Amino acid sequence: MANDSSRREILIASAALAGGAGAALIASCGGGGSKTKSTETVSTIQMQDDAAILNTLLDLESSAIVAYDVVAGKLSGSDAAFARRLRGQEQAHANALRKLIPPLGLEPQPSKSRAEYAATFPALRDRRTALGFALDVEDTAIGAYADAIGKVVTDSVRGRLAAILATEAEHAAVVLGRLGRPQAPQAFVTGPPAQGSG
Amino acid sequence: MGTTRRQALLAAGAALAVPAVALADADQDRAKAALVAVLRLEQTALVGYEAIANSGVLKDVLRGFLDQERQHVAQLQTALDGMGAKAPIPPRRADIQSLEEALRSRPAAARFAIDLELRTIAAYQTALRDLTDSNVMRVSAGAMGTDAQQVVILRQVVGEDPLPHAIETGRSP
Repeated sequence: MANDSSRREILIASAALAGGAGAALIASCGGGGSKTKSTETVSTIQMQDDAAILNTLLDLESSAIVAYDVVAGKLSGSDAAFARRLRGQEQAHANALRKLIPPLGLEPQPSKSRAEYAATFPALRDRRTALGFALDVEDTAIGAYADAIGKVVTDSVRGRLAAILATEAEHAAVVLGRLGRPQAPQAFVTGPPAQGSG
Repeated sequence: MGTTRRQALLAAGAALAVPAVALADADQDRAKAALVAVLRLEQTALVGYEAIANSGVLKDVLRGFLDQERQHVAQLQTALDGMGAKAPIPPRRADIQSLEEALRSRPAAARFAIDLELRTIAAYQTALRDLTDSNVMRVSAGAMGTDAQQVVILRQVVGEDPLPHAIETGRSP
């Protein structure tokens, strides 16, 4: 069983395999600082950079959909129903991302095969490891969306990503509750680096 | 002739520069207004939750939220300060709509808080479209995520579905 950090590395690496340039952008957390954006006309290159970031997020969502199939298979009763519910919401996120990409000048990248995603997942022995993996899926998504929000220059796209991030944070809260842990443990959700322990 | 060409070029440059500056100012004003709107809601939560918790209603839940709201308020004030804008004055308890009803019972307090948190999430999402500083965007996104987690806790308090929307906009679908 992989530990917390290596599971996250696996998830991020999985997304990076399909994400290309966008994955590199999301993986690089730094950069930061002030950047005046919306006074500028968004150029074709900037729009395509945004689309590449969205394609990386799309791959992460595709991975999450398969992850929840696997997680649901390891759970029973209300836990399994809950996992299937989250799978449905991740599917809705993937659908929303697919609609956002073409107006930015690129096509949504096709998902990898289920086997390719599943090959990167850790072994899930029991309920606790399955829910722990679900929490990693959500934390990874929160970190990826937060990072993307700081990089995407198309204002309307940022708003949509923020709504999906809010949902991923809600997912994490419910998973934390099922693990018997505090459901809103930090004043600022940040994803993997800050939310991993506890 | 040379002078005329220079003058023409300068005039053309000025004509381009003025709208750009005006646009930048307009963007900055929009970003400030969006952050002020979020800060007002976070301040309302701080004052409102303190009043509710002090009355003994939903104290176990709201005590934890209060520390988080204080951190959100502090970060938003810092961001506004960095933009050269003044933070609004926090509301008085008497000015907060529906607060008196919220003091009456645990479900009423939770419903008051759900409504306030959802409006705050929506305000953050508007701000995240209007902001221009990537660091402020990331901090705002982090605070909005925690507010969404608080909504999950509050929905559970009143026995509601904690995840009613596949995409949480803070507004009714």
